[in-house]
Amino acid sequence: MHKLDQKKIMTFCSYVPQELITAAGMSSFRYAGVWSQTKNAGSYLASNTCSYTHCAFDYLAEHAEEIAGAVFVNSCHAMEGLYQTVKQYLTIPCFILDVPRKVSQEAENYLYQSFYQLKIFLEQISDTEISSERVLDAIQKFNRDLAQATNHLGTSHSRPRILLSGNLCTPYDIVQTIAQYGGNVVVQDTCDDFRSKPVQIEEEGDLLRALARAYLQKPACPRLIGLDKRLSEFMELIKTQEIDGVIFSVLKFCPYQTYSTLALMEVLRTQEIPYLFCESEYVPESSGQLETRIQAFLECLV
Amino acid sequence: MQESPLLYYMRLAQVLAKASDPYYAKLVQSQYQYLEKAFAHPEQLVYVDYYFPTEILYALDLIPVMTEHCVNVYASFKKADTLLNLANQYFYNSGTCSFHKPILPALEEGVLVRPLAFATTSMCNESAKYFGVLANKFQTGYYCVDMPYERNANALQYMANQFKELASYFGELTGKPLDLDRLREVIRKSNQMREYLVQGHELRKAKPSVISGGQMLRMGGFYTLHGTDDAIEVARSYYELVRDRIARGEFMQSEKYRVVWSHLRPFYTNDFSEYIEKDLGVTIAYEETNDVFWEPLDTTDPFMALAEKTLAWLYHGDVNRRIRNLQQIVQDYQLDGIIHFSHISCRVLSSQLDLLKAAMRKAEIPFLILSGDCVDHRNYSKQQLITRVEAFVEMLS
Repeated sequence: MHKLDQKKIMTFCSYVPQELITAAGMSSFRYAGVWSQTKNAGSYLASNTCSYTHCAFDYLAEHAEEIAGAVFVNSCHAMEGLYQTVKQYLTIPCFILDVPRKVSQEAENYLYQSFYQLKIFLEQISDTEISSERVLDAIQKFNRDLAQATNHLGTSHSRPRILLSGNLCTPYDIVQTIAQYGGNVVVQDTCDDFRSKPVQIEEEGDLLRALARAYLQKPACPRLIGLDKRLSEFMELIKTQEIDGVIFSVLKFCPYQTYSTLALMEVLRTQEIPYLFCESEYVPESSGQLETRIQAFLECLV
Repeated sequence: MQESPLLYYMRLAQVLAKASDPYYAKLVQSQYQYLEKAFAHPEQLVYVDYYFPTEILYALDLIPVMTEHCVNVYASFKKADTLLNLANQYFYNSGTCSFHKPILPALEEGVLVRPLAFATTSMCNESAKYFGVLANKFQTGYYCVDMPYERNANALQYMANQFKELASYFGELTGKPLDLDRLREVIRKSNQMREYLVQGHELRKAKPSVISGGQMLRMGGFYTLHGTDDAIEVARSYYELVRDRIARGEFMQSEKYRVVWSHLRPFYTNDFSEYIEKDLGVTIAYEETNDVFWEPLDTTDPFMALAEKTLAWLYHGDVNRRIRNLQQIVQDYQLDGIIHFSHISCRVLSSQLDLLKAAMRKAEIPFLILSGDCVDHRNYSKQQLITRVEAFVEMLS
C-alpha cells in the first residue's frame, strides 16, 4: 500500500494536539511500547537514555512503511535525541513540537507558534488544507467525547487505595501486580492516564490559540518548570481519592521523574502517607524483586 | 559557625594553582574569592548551573556560584565519593548525573551554604528540575529560563522576555531593581573578555601548540565569571601567555599529533591528560568547552543579547550545528582527530553522541569516544582509557 494512503501519525506525548491531526484527516497513534527487548536501538541511542526511546526507535524502524509521519516533543534530551536519530536514519517524515516548560502568557504565545508550524507540517504530509472549519469540527468532536466520558478516577472503595505515580505504566503489568497482592489502584498519575487527561477547548475566536491555552492547562508534566502545579494536583488526588498509599514506579534514566519524586515523597512524609519508590525499565513483566517489595508494602498498609 | 570544607579545598586549590600558568592561577584565585564572599553573604548567593549566563546576576549585585564547579573541586581532591555516598539515600542507582547528585547532601552537610536562590536554564534537564526541587526543599528563590528547542526569532524573543522577568524577580527578592546601565556595563566587560579569548584561540592555531590543552580543560568554572573584571584579567593573561610563548618559540616539543578535546575530563586526575600529551605526543590543541560560540553581545538590547548568547550553546537543539563547528575546528587548527570524553550520566551530550560519531566517520575525521565519570574517581579505569587512546594513536599513525 502506498505510504501516503496510510494516515497514521505516531506521537509520543500528550502535548501533541490530537485536534490538529484529526483536522488533517489523519489519525494519531500514541506509542505505548511493544514490550519486547530492544533490537537495534542500542547501536543508535545512548545506553544512558531511557528504555522507552529505545523501544520507540525499534518500533519506528520496523514499521516505518506503515506510518505517515511522527510528531515528537522536546520533552527531554532522550526524546530530542530520538527525534534527531529517526530523522537521520529512517525515512519517516518527522516533526518536533517545541513545547514550553512554563504556564504563562509568554509560553502560550510560544506554543501558539509551535502549533502553527505543526499545522504546516500536517498539511504537507496529508496534502490537506487544515481550515478553521476543520479545526473547529475536530475540537467540537473532542469536546463532545470529553463531556460523555465517564470519570476515569477510581470509585471502588476496596482498600488499600493506591495511587500509582510514574512515567508510562512500567512495568506493563504493575497494576495487576498490585491487585494481585491486594492493592486497589484507584488513580494512575502517569503520562498515559491522569496526565493525558483531555481538557475542554474553547470553540470561539482563534482556535490555534484556544488549543495552546488549553494544552498548557493540562495536568502538570514533570518537565514543567516549578513544582506548585504538580504538587497541588498530586495532593488533590491524594485527598479526593482517599489514598492509603503511593507507589512510585519511575523509569530508569528519567531525571524529571526522579527529581520530582524527591519533592513528592517529602510532602507525603509530612502528611504521613506511606509510599514505595521503585525504579523500573520498560519491560512487560514485574520482576520477582519488585513483586516482593510491592507485597511487603501493601502488607504494611493493611 | 564551622567553615565549609569546600572553602578549605578551594583555598588549597588556590595554593596549588600558583605553580600553574598565570591565567589559571588567577582563575582559581578569583573563584575562591567569589566563593568566600558568597558564603559570607548568602543573601547575595545564587547557585547556577554550567550553562547559565551570569552577566545578569552580577548586574543585580548577586554572586553566582556554579554547583558543578563546587563538585569539581571536591572531585579534584578525590572527596566527591563522600557526598555521592550520602546522595545514594535519595537516588539509589538511578543514573542521575554525578555532577548534580551531591548537591542535596552538600547543602544538608553544610558543604554548600543555603543561598538566596537557584537560577538555571532548561538546557540541562537535570539542573532545571533539581534546582526547583532544592529551592522548594530549602525554601529559597528559584528561576529557570526555559530554552526552546528551535533557534528562531520567536524563540529568542521568548527567552529575552524571560530574562527580563528574571531581572524583575530578583529585583523583588532583593529589594534592588536592576539598573539597565549596570547590565550594559557588565555586558561590555563580558565582550572585552570575549575579545581576549578569541584572540588567544586564534593564536593557538599555530603548530606546534604552545599551551597544554590538558591544563586548559581545567577552565570548567570560567563561564560563571563572565561579566567580571576578573574574567577580563584571566582571558588577557591567557592571550598574553599564548602570544608571548609564540614570540619566544616555546612550542610543545612532544607534539606528534593534534586533537580537539570534546566535552569535559576526569577532574580527579591530571596524569591522564599529561600522559596523552607528553608520553603519546597527542597535543590537545583546542578544547570544545573553551570555544567562543557566541557573538559579541549587543548592549542596546541586553535581554535579547543574553537570549542570543544562551541559545547559541552548541550542545542544544539541532546537533548539526555542533557537528559543523567541530569539523571547522578540525580544519582551522589542522587537527588529526577528536577525542570525546563522555561523562557517563550526562544526557545533554550522550543523546547526540552517535550522530556526532556518524558525521565524523562520514567526514573521515578520526573520532575517539572515551567513557568515564568526571566526578567519581571510583569509576576511573585509567588503564582501560589509556589502552583506547593508544589504539587511537596507532590508527592516526
